[in-house]
Amino acid sequence: MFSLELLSQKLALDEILELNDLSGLFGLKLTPQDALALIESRNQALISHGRIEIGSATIGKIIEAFLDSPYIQQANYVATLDELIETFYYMKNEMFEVISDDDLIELMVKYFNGKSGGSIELLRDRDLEKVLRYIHKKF
Amino acid sequence: MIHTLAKHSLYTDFIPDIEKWTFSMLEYSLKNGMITPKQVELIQLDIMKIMSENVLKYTQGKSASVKTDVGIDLYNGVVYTLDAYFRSFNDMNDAFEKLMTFEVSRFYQTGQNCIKAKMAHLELSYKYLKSMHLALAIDAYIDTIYNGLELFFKNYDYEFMPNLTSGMIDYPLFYDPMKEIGIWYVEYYIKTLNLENDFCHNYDENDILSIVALYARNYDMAPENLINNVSEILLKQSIASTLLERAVRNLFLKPSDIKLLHEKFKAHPDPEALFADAFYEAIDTLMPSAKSYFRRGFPSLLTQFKLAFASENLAHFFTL
Repeated sequence: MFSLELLSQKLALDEILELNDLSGLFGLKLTPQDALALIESRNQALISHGRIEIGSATIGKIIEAFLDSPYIQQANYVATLDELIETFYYMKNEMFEVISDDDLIELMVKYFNGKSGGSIELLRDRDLEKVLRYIHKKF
Repeated sequence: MIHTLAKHSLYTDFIPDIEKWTFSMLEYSLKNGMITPKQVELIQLDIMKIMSENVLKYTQGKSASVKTDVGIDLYNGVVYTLDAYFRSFNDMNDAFEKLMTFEVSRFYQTGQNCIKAKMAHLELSYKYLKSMHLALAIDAYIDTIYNGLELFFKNYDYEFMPNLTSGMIDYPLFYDPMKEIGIWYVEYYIKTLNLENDFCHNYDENDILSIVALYARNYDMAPENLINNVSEILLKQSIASTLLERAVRNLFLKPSDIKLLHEKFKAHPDPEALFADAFYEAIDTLMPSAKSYFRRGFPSLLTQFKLAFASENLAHFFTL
């Protein structure tokens, strides 16, 4: 009768689509199919990193934080969001949860728009990796 | 009065599932056309919203996601709190009436208040337990009362994980169906242990200590290492005394008594009925108010008796 995943998906879909009003100001929009694909990617990332999230708070925060990025256009919007979401959960787990969601997203935005030059690969494997190594050393 | 009867007739076939009270109400309502699948979905979404808020509160606003095991515990905590609310109704008609208002957030808040009130009440029962327990040097008994339950009161998280209890309960009750979890289990345990202690206070304290020591010696154990229910040990002795037409509070038996008991059972056309009669007579004399409780544990005692009698081993069933 009750599926945690299905319910969470329904809640998330409504929340993500509501953000189109805001992202539309930057020429970025998600169709319901795009949103569902992102939720599915998010679900896979959650499963592979052994986590649970209800609703779409993280996806919503990532959308809001990156919508004014000079490296994101409608053409690469969904694909970039998809990779940013996967990177977020990977880092969240690897960083032993010492960094809050907001701080991690802020860090991702700073590098993505700066040193990484819009490259997810550099963001994940070079710039955030440095932070990761520091955290592993300290904690 | 007529109105009440009419209301009662609505839910006579509803049997709540103790492990998922609210969901069993929803399932019943859906099956009987009292609510629509859409309404069930809206309730489910409201539950998810509470869960989502709880994840944020639990992580102190730092994270919208948690490790899977923590997430499952948080979800079960929300459902458990809703159950606390709906279990608080004495009349199922009122519970269903409230469910039909679909105010999930209010159900949850009131459920939390129910758990808090139960906790406050339970603290009083626990104080009584600490002041009225038996002067026994049985580790499992004393550790459960002082360390195990103390830990429960110290760590119980009514806000996020009310379904979980920490603390070790090693001392077994005479009858423990283990159907409950969370605060309801601890409530059952403390109330029942209080009742068993009250029952044991019917006997002379020194006699209790002596019979427990004899019982331990029969099993080559030190009394402090026993993991047996004391009221059961005492009750068995009272059953023997009743059958031997002695004072029910007499706990001591001689080898010749065991022989006499065996002959008595053997000569009787229905030894089990003889045993049952003596069991109820002993309870009626010692503590009639506890009859319904001890009755529930009787089948297990009867099984022990049947095995001991069939193997001519009553000397190990009773304590010499």
